[in-house]
Amino acid sequence: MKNEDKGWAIAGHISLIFYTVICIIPFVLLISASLTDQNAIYANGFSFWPSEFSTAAYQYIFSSDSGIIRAYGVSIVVTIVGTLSSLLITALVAYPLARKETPCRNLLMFLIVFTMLFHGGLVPNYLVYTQLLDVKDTLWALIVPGFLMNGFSVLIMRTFFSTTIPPELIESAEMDGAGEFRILGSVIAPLSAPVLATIGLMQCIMYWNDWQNGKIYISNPDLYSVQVLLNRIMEDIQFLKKNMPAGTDIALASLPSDNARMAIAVIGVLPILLAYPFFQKYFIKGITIGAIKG
Amino acid sequence: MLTTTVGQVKKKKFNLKKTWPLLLMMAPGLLYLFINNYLPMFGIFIAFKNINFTKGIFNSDWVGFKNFEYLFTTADAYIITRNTILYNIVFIVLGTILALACAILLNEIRNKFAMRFYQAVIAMPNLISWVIISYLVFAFLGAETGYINNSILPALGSDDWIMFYLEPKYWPYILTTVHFWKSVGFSSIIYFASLIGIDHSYYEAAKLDGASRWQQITRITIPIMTPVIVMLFIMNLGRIFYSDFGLFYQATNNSGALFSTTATIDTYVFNGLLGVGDIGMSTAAGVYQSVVGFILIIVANYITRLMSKENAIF
Amino acid sequence: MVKKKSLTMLLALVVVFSMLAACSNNSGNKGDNGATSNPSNNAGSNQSSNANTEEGNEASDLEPYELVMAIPIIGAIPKDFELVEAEINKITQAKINTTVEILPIGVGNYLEQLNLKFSSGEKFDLSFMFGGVGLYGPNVASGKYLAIDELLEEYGQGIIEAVGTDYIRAPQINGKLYATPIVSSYGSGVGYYMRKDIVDKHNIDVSSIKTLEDIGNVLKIVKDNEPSIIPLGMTFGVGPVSTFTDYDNLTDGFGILPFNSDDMKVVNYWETEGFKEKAELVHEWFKAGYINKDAATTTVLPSDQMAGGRTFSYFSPSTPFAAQDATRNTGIEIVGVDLQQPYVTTSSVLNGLWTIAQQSEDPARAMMFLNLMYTDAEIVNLLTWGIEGTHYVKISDNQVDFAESVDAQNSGYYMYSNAWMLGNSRLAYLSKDEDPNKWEIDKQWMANAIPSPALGFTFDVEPVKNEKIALQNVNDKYFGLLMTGSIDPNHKLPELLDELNKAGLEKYLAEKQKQFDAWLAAK
Repeated sequence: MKNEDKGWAIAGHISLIFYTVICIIPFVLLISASLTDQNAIYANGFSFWPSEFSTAAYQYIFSSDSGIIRAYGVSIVVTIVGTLSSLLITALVAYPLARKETPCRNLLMFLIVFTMLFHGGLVPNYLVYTQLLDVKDTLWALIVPGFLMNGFSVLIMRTFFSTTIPPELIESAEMDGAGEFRILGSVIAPLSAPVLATIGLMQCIMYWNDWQNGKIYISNPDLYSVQVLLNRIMEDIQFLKKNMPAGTDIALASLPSDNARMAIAVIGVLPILLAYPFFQKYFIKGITIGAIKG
Repeated sequence: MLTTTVGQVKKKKFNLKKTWPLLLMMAPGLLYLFINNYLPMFGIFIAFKNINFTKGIFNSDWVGFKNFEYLFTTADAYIITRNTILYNIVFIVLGTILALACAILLNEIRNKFAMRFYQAVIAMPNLISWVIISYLVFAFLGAETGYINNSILPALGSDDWIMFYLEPKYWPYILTTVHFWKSVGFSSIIYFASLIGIDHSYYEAAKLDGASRWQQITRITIPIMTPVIVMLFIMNLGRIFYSDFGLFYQATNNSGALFSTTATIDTYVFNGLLGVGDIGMSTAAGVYQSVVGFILIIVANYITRLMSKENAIF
Repeated sequence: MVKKKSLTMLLALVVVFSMLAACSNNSGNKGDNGATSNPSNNAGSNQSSNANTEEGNEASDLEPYELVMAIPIIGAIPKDFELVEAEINKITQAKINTTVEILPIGVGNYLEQLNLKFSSGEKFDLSFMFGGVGLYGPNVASGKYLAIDELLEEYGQGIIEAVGTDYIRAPQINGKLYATPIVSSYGSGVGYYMRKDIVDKHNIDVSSIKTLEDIGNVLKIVKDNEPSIIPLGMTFGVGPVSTFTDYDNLTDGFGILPFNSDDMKVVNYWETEGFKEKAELVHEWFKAGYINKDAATTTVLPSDQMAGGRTFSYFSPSTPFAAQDATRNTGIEIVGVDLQQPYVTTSSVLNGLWTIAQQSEDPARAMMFLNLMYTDAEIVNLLTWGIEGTHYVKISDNQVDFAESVDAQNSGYYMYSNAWMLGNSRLAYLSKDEDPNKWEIDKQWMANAIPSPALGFTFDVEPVKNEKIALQNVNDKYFGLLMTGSIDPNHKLPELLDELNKAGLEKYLAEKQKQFDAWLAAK
């Protein structure tokens, strides 16, 4: 048995090392490009080691002009507030859906799944969020539209609650006289570390990577998040290149070039890479608690 | 079992005193759902109108299914539909298998540090935006400056270049690879999270009975994870007429020569409507994709219900 | 069991949707009120301000009004934008009792934002529109813009004078005007630009380059003698097939009118001998290795390719200063040849447009401000250069330089790359790097431009929208390839023509001819 387990571990290592390597290679390209001189990129394309080393891209970004530091602040605030709020709201909806006592829960689940399929479109959403509620140029515009609760997270949490939480635990808590809120807080929550960590990580990434809400609702540069900033630059360049209106040459010369765009991408990705191990801890924690209780 | 249909539950078991906390809990989420998703749904009507903004969205003329015509009457309708469906079938089926395999293999790694390292790294590609990925793909496949043409092919003794961006035949493989590269690591997270929650005593009992690791995986792990697998599978089915725009538009540099193997409904609509700008027609495409996905989900969910009730979504 | 359940679900759905319908009527009305109540507002304010102007345009007679204007910004929004806006407001308040709120929107986001503003009916008056994206006609068709014929007559005399009566009605559609063109050199010609150092090295006689064949010879010289340099850098969008255009593209290129047409018949360009010859020539060049192999798919601009030292030459639409501008921007000395004299088509006049939104609450006032943008040099210079002393200083009558300790990087307001979008950029001072006689030279250049017979005609795509979408997709499949010579036209051209026909080109051409004939008759 031990040999067999070892065999599996080795197979695991080999295939995962292979996958890991092909995941890292493009990042190496990315970082290398961000440290390459722009004209060298025009001449030679991207390479794994900068053909001509230059930190010009990072100098440009961290100069006062680009607003990147402030964008970092915005991204962090939005991600933390957004992730915590959405975890709370999602759990509050998913738990009753997992309890058989809840009336109409299949109907509600259907209604929630329905929203994952049918959308009104950009314009109706814009109308709701600017005419009905007014979130333009506020942080709410980055947190609320679209991300606060989505059907997918509800589905996963509900499935997790129904399949992983032993009903006996809930029954014994009920017999002790605990109300639903108490059950949620003291029984469910501690056992849900894995799913909360999973959904939490996904929400984190969704909020961190979102550039659309900012593009649609924010015109104040002080409220740009990191991805909104990067996207603004990218789409400016794409528009100009595609349409080439008169006077573009001067403009294009003033926009950040390839190496700067790569640098911004690197900077945009870094915090999530650093946050990931933090979430991983909670996966592992979940195992330990589950093992003890189970 | 006592709970059969929703209707019967409502009449026999509806106990307000007991259930009001549950309903209260759901209130904020349901309110949000209403505002964020159901209110804007009136926009679906735009697909059936010829919008004139001077008249306003609500007073514009109804035109029935006219906005949908372009999706079906065009000579390319077959190609774009075929491409969309075929890619999605491969992505869903293979993707599920690969993500599952990833999660299972990760679980087999004894060295905690290595496991966490692998898991973190394979999820990374999901974080890069498609525009950047298109640059990276170009760095490999480009003609003048691409890595394959300038380093790998010469090493293999070949003199010629492969004009990747002009040859449709390579792209089903390229796009599939890029898609899996970006998404498998990340998708495996969900499977992994439900995997590690499985009670170890099951495995210990199986070991005592003399089960091999493979048997443990196929008889314990996968069956326990079935609800999650089925749920994700059904949800993915619902998106079968959608395609990842970034993958098919950005990663291909929107090269027209690759149309036959890379055009999907989404890229077709986007390119076509650029110079027409008709909000009714673009909404119509979305409605078309949603309706097909919706029907598929209902059917798939129904079939799942028949086979094993607990695994169905609703 | 299942039946009862689905019935309940159905019932629930009905309830939900009827709730939706009720609610959406309310929320929709909110957005709608702006639009539908406008006609009455417009009529009212038109009459009141008409009465006023008859008495002599006193600012004090005008009601105060807040105007909202959107302009695209290339690059970051200048830090001192609000300072400049405040200065402009001093002028507008004095002259037309109007407070102007200027919305600077990133150019890549601009079209989508405009779309949202028009769709939601929010307070909005003036905006710039890019003509080159081909959305002017469809926007008119979907009712986003106001017809401005009377407003222009009444309050826009300055605009008419600045643009000129030859071109002021170029944006008209079905006899009505929905936009004013920016003042610019409308003619577009074709230029060929080369690296001066290589030209000198091989004694290439620039003045003898007149035709594509001549260029072919030059390319051969470079190919034979400079092995590490690609003679012709191309990218999808600019090249000898699309340049050397001796035709009017009639808005979208599907069905064109040759400039020398006698019969005024709309023609399928891809069927013409001229196209076939050019496509074959370019393919010869591609096979001979004159063109970069990734021309059809690269996104690196030809001028950037040259800046990287990879290429020798490229094609580009010509302007009087194209070579100097390119030299300045790439840092490499560039010399150019004008291959074709400039023509003026509707598309070239419509490169930049200003429109008044259908939901504008006071279109007359919007027109008054627009008029100021075409006539008031102070406003134009504020928008172009910023505040005198703070951002720039005058070094001669019409030239400026950066203010002390200010340069392009740290200036609080540097919008020169945006200047061309303003109504009348001719009123602005020139940069010290430019020729002080720039506007004169421009005028001369325009005097040589030949107007197309179809100048003033815009095709309305509404009746053949479906065909347009199919045709556009066919175009995307082949055009880049044929234009860069990447494929053999003998194989691909028949395929292209076949697919165009299947996509409905005949119907499209017939519709275009019909509209064109009607327009000719009405002239």
